[in-house]
Amino acid sequence: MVRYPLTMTNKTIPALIRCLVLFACFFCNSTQAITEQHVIIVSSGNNSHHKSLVENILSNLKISNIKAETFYLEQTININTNSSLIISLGHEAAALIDQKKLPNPKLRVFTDTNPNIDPEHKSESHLSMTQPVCQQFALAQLLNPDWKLISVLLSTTNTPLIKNLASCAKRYKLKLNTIILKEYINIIDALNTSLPSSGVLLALPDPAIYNAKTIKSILLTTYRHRVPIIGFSENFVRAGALAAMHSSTEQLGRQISELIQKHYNNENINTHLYPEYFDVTTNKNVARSLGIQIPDRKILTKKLQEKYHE
Amino acid sequence: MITIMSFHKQYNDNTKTPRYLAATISSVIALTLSTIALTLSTPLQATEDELFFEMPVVLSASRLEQPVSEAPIAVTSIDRQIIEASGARTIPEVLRLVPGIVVGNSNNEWGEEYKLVVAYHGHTNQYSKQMQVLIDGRSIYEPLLGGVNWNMIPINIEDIERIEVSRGPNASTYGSNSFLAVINIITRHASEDPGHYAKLRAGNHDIADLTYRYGGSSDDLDYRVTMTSQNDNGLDARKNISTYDVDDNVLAYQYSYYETADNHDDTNTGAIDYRVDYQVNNDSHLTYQGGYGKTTMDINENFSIGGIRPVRDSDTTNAHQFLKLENTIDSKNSFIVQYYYNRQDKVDQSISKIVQVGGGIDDFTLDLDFGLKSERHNLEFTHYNQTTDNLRLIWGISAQQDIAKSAFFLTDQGTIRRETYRLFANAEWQINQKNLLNFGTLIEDNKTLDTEVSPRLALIHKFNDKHSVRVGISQAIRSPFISEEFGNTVFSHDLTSGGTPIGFTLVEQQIIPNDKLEHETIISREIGYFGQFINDKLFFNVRLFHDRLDDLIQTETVPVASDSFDGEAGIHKNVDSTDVTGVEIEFDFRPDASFRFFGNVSFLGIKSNDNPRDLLSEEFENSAPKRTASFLAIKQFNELYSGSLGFYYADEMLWLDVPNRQPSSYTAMDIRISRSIRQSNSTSKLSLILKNLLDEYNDYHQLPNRGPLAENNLTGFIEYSISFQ
Repeated sequence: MVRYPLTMTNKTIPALIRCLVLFACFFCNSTQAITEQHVIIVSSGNNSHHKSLVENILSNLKISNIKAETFYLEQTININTNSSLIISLGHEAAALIDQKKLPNPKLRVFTDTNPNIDPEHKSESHLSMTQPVCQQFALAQLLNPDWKLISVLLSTTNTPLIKNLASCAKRYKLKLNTIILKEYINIIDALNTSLPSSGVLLALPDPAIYNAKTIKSILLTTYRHRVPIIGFSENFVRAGALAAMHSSTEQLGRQISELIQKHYNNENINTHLYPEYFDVTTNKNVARSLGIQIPDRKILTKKLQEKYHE
Repeated sequence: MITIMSFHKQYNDNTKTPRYLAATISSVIALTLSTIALTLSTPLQATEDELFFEMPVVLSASRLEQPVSEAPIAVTSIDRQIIEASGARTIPEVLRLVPGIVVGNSNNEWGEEYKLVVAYHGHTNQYSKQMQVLIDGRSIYEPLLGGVNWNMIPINIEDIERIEVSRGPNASTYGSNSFLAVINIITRHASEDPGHYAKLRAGNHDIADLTYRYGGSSDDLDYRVTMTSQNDNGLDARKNISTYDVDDNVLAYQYSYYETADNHDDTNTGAIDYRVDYQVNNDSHLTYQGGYGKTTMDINENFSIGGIRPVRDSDTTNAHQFLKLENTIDSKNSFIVQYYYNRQDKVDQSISKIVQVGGGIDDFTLDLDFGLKSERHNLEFTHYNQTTDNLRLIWGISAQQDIAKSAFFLTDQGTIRRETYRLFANAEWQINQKNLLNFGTLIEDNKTLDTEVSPRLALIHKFNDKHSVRVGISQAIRSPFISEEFGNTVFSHDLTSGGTPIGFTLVEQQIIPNDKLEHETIISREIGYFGQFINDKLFFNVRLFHDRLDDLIQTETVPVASDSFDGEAGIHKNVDSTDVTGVEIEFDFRPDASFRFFGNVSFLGIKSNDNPRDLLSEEFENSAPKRTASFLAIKQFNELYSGSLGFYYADEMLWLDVPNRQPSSYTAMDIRISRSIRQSNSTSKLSLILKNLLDEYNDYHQLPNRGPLAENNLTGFIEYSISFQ
């Protein structure tokens, strides 16, 4: 848990504005009110999903008095206050903020299931945009309790996850089959060689493995092996994965804005967070074709939300 | 260098890794391979783009395989593992693993080239006209003569993903001619075979095959080109050798025996086919396929038709173009629009033996043109709709034009064009958790024949997710093919004496057309059971069926009297009706990843309803074996060695329209041993394949007291395949 300093010491604010603020605060009862509730959002990209996430954060903040300023990486980022909460969306944004060595409180939003957090930033808050690995195992078990084997493709970047994967496999009494792919290997050859024709393949976000060029072949090959995929996005399910637990930009935006408000309400925020709001999407056609009877997505979502709050 | 480390590493306290890791991590594979496509790029940190990036719909509703347990009809699915393990050079060899299917060779009946014949439940001559055959939804049923000439299909067996065989009529899904069964061959997506692949086969019977394939991709486009050369000397002949012992100029003894010799039926095929898959956008996928193949075949003389079909060669070219657009509208709707064009040109010309008339009339020969040309255009639209969670609809329309021309089969008929229009719909209603109702119908309009409706109804009851029963009834038609409907075969020659016309034309009318020909019809009733046992390691299904076939078309000899001809000629007529009853049992057992046992048995009886009975009644009843059985055992001994053993048995039977033959059976055994060879930048496999180990695999054309005219004896070949980037 971390608490952020809420002092206001920005010397760059012109004296006139400072006077106005003091004048305004004179009429206020709350000490909170004299603190500037200001958020700086730095996004790693300006794609539609980045923009959507930012818009959803801003939209949720509208009902509060918290002001927000948004920067995209290609813009010049001027941060003039060291009291504002900085939200970095993605690795690149986080790296840029780190370079500036700002004393501001920070909330880092990452894609990684289990980001490798620099010890220097251990005390800061981190939000993964994907569910914890054990939740994915829980989903696998709910989808088909008869599965005994869960396979995971990992590039070398994600090998630190093995320990966590093994722990979750043990917890859910599943046998784990990890297939580590080194640089420049042929993914389809690897699947044909080492993917057992049973159980399920858990896909974790990894751009070296799951990208626009490979996704088609991976789906076709696993389907031929009659191994369903638990994906990591709604699009993945639409493309042919059996199911996925995912959060939309609306859901993530809502959670981030709630965390911002908690911060300014001096509430405790965990150092490592996972999406609180999520859905489960299933592909009934794939399930049917593979002869798997799966529960309704609403039931799955409800059960997993219960597990989240356990 | 490919290095495969498949280890169960014991993590212990020394490694500072929890011990439980050892129990849960079953294997870690590390491969290093030179890269072009589909290789792992430099490991990267995941970004938000990975979570939200748009993906194309890969496993669309149309591409997904229907589970066997929920299909409204019995379906046998032959996957790549089975195809490869069977050691098959041709598709028919693999089809012997389908319950009720028999595969034989038609050796020069009617004086044509030898053919591989695939038959299900009999009722067939060398053209096997009651089965529909599709490649990726493209019908290759030949419009002029019906059936499929398996020796001449420009498709490479290595490009096949799986073969689905619907056992029983399935016209409401696949249209007319989906009569006794439907064989649907599904090829692989172009992205699945990147890089170079070559295969070489060499063996006895002059087997010399070479295949080369290259697959590549660029952004949203994947492509594959396959070139094949396939050559063999066909079947062995059984030739009659007679010797005489002569004593004082008096014939004392005669010895007669049969000797195996080369049959004049060498086959040489060269083919190229290609497939392009283009992802237009995330919702639309375009597939373009094409192919061209040329087959040269030696043809024996046919002795039964008076020498007018002499020894000769034929050249047949097959070409096709196929365009298919699949579009996913939303999660509940998608559609397919497809167009294809098939073309076959056969050049088969020769001169007959000298015809001696006598009586001062000059001897003469006939210029014979057995060539033919057939084309098919087909345009089809299919809409997939998930109306509600419990109701799925598939409906569509299609228009087809068949074009045929043949001097021999369609004498004086010119080019025949026939248009067919179809409207079809299928609904699948999940009544509740345990019951699934499937109903569908096809309406087919053919300008020259009556409009026909082919409905189907099937109810599937699931006792649980492992066991289900299916009760179904369906009706289907088989439209007469063009030569049945319009066939007219006439030879004529103006007789001369001393080179001067005598004013008399010799006319030989072999076939006359029948403008009253109707569709063949079938009503099929069946009960099926599907079960999974031993933790889903054993799949088992049974089908009991009763089929009623009416208006079966056969050739009858009738007297013909016209201005030019007075004699007898053949005519295609709706002549017979039969009842077919039987049971088929199929199993697929995979006790572990290294072993698979796939097989079937079937029992069948055909009863002719002819009254009074005639010779044809008996021929129909003998046209399918009463018992068939086949199995394929596949074993992966270790990482390098694998083997398979196939066994194929069919009881006695006889093709229709084969005079003076006696029924025969076959028992065949094939063995395959393979060794994988992994090198730094390639994967290769060396195999030895031996076929027909138990017995000659004859062609069902046994003559009384003589045996088969030709036989398929022990065949052995070495196969070497290599793939590299």
